[in-house]
Amino acid sequence: MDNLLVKTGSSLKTFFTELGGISIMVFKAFAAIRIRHNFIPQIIEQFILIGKKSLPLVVVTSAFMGLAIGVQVGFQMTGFTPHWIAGGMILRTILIDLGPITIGLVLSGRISAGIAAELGTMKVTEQVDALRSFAIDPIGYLVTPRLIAAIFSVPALLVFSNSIAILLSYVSCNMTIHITWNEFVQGMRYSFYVSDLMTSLIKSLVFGVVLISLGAYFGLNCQRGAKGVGSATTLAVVWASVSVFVLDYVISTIVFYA
Amino acid sequence: MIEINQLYKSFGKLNVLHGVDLTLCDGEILTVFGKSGVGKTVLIKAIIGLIEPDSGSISIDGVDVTNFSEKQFNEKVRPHISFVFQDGALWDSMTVGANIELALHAQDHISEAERRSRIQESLRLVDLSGAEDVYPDELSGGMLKRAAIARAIATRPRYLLYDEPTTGLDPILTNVIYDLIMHLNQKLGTTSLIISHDISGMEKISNRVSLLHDGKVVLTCDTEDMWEQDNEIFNEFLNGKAYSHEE
Ligand SMILES: Nc1ncnc2c1ncn2[C@@H]1O[C@H](COP(=O)(O)OP(=O)(O)OP(=O)(O)O)[C@@H](O)[C@H]1O
Ligand SMILES: [Mg+2]
Repeated sequence: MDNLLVKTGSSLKTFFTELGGISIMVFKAFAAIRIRHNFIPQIIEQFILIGKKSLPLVVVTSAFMGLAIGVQVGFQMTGFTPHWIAGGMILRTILIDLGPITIGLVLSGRISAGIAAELGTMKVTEQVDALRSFAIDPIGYLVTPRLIAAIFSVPALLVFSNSIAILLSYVSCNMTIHITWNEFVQGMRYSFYVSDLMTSLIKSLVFGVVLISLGAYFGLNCQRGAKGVGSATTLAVVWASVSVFVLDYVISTIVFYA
Repeated sequence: MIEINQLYKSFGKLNVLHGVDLTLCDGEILTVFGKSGVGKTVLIKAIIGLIEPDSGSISIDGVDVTNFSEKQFNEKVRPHISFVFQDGALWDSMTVGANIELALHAQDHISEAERRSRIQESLRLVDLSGAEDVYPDELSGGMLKRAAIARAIATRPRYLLYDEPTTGLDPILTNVIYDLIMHLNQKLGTTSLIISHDISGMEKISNRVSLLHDGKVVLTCDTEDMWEQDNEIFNEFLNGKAYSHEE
């Protein structure tokens, strides 16, 4: 029992230490915006990189997520419920939760892990020390452009992902209950709220910042050796995917009940 | 002049440095040697603030930098001291030319034209002219080290710290690098601190040698006198015996 308490205590301590470290890094990354001027080319480069890396995966996962939702909602519609209701249900489910979560998980695997591996390798090969030795702040140089790029690219990816998911959910819903495009759109119109769209965008923006930060933090704090890079990558993915679910819940609660 | 006094550093339970004293005099080439893992890299990283010592002091040109913040190191120390990393540590996402350009970045008083000419000149000095657009992973080990030296000298530092600049190179390339270090020392007036395992090489180029052993500098002497010391550990190292019974 004592042992359990000690273990829990030390895990909690680690958790809060990491959380503190991550927050400080994010703060420094945003503070560095002032300091460096010629950010733009790097931001564009990172923007393209994030898009290029995750687009194919986003297309595939959003498509199947949409197809599955279409079938599922269609299945629940049997009976006397009017068909058009399906359109609204699908729209809201995708906008509020499934869209952001899909993007979040895809990016955890693709972007957080990628950044952790890249910066981790730079760290163990002394490239990060080399930056510092030439008076270049590694956070400002490596993290800030990626963060800014994520602020623009992740919401864009989300809009794209949501559109694909909604279109394909219509296809599969049409195949199960023969809902027409007009009924589907009518349903979506009835239940469209701007606040839902905002929630979706806010979630994607927060996920973007958090996922980039986690990847960068674990990469820059990578332990020595190849094993260090491996565990930095794993840590980044684990933290990133858990954060997606936690933040999804937190943001929903704030938006809908606060 | 760089003066290190009673420097201590440990990582967790591992006591790496305990009480290192070392002085680097202006204009000289000093070689520090010692067995692998003894803390040579840790010691020279501490000089430019890449590793924070637990206690002791480091002063550079009479200024105590021990408690400098990262910002102070960036402004007052790092522009004057360049570090050549053990494995080059070139930024591998960019070309050799871009590497040098980025190294010059922090020195923003340099004009664009000056920057270009510094890149050319540094590459010429290390005999790598034309390698500007090559990526680090396309370079051989020896070229990589020379590119790293080119990047280090582009900022025209007063001090150069070399972490094992010749380890892993063939004898001919080793001599090329040594000639380069001596040349820079004489031509640019750079003071150099070299970490090396190469006894004959250090005899050739350095003014003084120091042995780091068990967390301390055991002995420092002029290179001319290095074969006449009566320190047992020092002599064992010079004759290559230390490795046979300690590793
Ligand atoms: N950042 C660090 N965290 C933990 N331990 C470290 C760190 N840096 C160095 N060490 C440890 O300190 C000791 C000295 O390392 P250092 O790299 O200075 O050795 P070295 O003398 O340069 O060896 P080599 O000749 O192999 O390069 C080693 O045991 C190493 O594992
Ligand atoms: Mg070393």
